[in-house]
Amino acid sequence: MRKSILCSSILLLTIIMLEKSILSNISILLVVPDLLMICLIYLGLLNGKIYGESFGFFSGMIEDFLSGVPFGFSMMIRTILGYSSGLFHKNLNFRGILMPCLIVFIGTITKCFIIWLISFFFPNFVAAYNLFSFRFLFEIMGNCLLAPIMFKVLSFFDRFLSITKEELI
Amino acid sequence: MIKKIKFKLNIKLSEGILAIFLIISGFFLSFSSGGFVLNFKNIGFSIFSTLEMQFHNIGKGIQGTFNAVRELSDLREEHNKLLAKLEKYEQMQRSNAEIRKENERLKQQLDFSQSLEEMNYPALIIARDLNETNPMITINKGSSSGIKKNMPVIAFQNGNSGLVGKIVEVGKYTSMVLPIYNSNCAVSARMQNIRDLGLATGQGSIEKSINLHYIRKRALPDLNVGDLVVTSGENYNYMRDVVIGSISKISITEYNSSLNIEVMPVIDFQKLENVVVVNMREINNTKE
Repeated sequence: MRKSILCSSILLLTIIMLEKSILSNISILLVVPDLLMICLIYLGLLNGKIYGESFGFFSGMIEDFLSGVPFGFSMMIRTILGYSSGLFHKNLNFRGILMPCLIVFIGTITKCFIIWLISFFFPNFVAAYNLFSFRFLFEIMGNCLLAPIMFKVLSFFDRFLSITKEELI
Repeated sequence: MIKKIKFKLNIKLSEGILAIFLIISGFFLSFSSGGFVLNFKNIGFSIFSTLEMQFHNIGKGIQGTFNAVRELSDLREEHNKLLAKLEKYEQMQRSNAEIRKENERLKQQLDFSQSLEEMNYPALIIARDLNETNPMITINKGSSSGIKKNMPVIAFQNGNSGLVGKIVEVGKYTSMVLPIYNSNCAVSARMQNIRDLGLATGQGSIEKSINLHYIRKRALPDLNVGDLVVTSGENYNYMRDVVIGSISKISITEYNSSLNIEVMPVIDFQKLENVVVVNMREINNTKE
């Protein structure tokens, strides 16, 4: 279990660094796909609610340290996303191509909804997403296209990422 | 019976943890402009942004290694073929031209830095936060180089100097810049020709223009598309007369007493690599 938590934490930290320091500097990308969200959804589906929300909370905290959003903003979004994906632990077959796309599509919409909800309570700090903007369209497309690839790549490391042993059988 | 109790406990534990995490994040979110939270964030920013800088360097290193490998394979081919000598020469020529261009760019930056009245610190952009809610820029200079919170950041690009934003977060070796296109950034601005005062605010996106508010309707006959908008220098937040951008569109709303003016920033943020952080309280000693 310790090994799995350590591996998952390193994975999430690497993804955040990759997203913030390398991908965000590539000017041809109009938006950076939310790799952290895809990874978090995968870990939630693999390990359940408790681990999903915990990974979400701590990865959100690191993201808050590195970005300009108010402290606590990403923490809240990632915690809810991790918990929500953990709800479907063992209830959903997330292998293949179509299911990861669908799951991440719903995840991105949920993220957008949570941001809208937070912006409702903190209108001075947080600006809500525009659902009909090209930016959101590109983000959702990028996330959905990357989801099957990332799920497949992560599935090779299930042995290190899965906390519940029966998942591996 | 035991199974039932275990199931109940399990449900309570996960929801309990969720509630705790949400309370903590909500607490931080509510007080994100408060004193101790800011310090906590500052400490975290110092640690993780240093790590971020290392990642940036590693990424550059890997890129450099790949480039080196590619160059090596080119050299091998050139060694085997006679025609490759010409190719090598052309490549050297190209690389020479690139170095010359880079040299010119750096010389421009240096000249610009030395020409400023105030003490300043040239810096390199190492990361960009592209999200529309709160876009930010991270630079490779921090408190160890003398950077302080609220210092204005300017840049020299294609022969023009312009306002980039201001420092909002200072780590040990890195700092975060609030760019003028951020919707939370408001700059006291002045029309360069007619000297009318207004307030320039961003729209959150690098592609969108900046809005200039509170320019009275009476000024309309004197305004033209292309007129420059500069900083007013009031409140000593920014230096006086630094160019923000030029007017790209003027429109009138019947019910509004002021004009709707859109300003195109003079700085192309997509291409921006180097910036200069200005310390308005100290004099530039390097100035000749």
